[in-house]
Amino acid sequence: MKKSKAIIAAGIIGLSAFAAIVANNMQQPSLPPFTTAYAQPQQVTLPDFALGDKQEFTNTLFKDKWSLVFFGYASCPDICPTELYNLNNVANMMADAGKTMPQVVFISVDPQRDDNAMLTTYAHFYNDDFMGMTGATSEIDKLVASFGVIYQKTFLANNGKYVSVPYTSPIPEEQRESYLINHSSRLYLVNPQGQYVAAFAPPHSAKKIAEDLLLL
Amino acid sequence: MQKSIMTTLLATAIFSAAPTFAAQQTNMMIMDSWVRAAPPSAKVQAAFFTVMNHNDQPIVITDVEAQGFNRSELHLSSKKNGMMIMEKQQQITIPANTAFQFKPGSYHVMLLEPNKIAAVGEQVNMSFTLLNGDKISVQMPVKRDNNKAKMDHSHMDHSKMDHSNMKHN
Repeated sequence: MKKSKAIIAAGIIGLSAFAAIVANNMQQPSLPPFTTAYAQPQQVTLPDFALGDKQEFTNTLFKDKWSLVFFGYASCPDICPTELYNLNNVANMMADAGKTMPQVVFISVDPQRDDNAMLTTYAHFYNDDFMGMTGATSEIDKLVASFGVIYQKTFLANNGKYVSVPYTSPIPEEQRESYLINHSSRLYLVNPQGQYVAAFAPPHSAKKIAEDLLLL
Repeated sequence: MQKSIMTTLLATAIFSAAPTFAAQQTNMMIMDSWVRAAPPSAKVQAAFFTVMNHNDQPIVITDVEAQGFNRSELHLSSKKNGMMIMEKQQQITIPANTAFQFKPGSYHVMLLEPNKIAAVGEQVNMSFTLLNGDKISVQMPVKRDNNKAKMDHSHMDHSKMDHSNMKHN
């Protein structure tokens, strides 16, 4: 009697292990052969995070749809606008092909100067479907760590040289509004299971990005 | 008959003399200039253009001013340590006999502290100061890189931009 219970128990454990493996595999569908994007060796499940004024942007943001994530800041004169205009081109190419454009999420790493309302209008200037958001640096940094983003505050010191410091480090008073941010400019692809699966390295060609996205 | 030819030659000489004289000061053109349209909530804008240096000597741009912006700077975007960085340039040298591009992701004029973000259709007056003291003024139209709605493919290639705002000096 005891023996059969043990067998049943072992069976349950075995089955659940098998189910877990199946579920895991279902959560990690294989990617199409991209020509431009670098596939992650292993899908990175994103940690729990909360962005937005009311912490309304959480992991569910990435559920059930493909997403393209870009980190930047609204005082960025060149790189971020170039990227967002470029992604609008990608969106047009996807529309031309009759395919769904992944949701574009622009995350500002500069909450000291940017707020959610202005980031929404900022993103909509490039494309009405694009999303712009920020949050507490501690929340941003959870995603930053998962995607392997690097960013730092940088400003022109009195000696005419640029000084780069971590974002939350104190900087001279007169630089509070005029600092720049050095940041990674990769474009990250997140699958409908909310996992970071691939990245596009700069320089970004709208055509090449669209070619890969059309394979999804 | 001979007199009229002489007059024509003389006229040609006068007409060609004027621009040549100006050109000797700074034989430089700024072409395909544009200020990139930015969201009204943006705090900065960027200007792009091509400098044609027709001299056998390099031209050095040392400063830039733009109407409607309290600060304008010469900048270079580049990739360093895996990040895109932007650095103010004290001066930019345009090599002799070269077409030098200021373009997205590279050299550009960064426009800061706007009275108001310049909107599509507006013009931004800009003035460049050269090392020899010359000033070159250009009026740059504000344009989007591309349209939000259905894309007009003719706008993708900036080399096809109109040259009507081309300035000689």
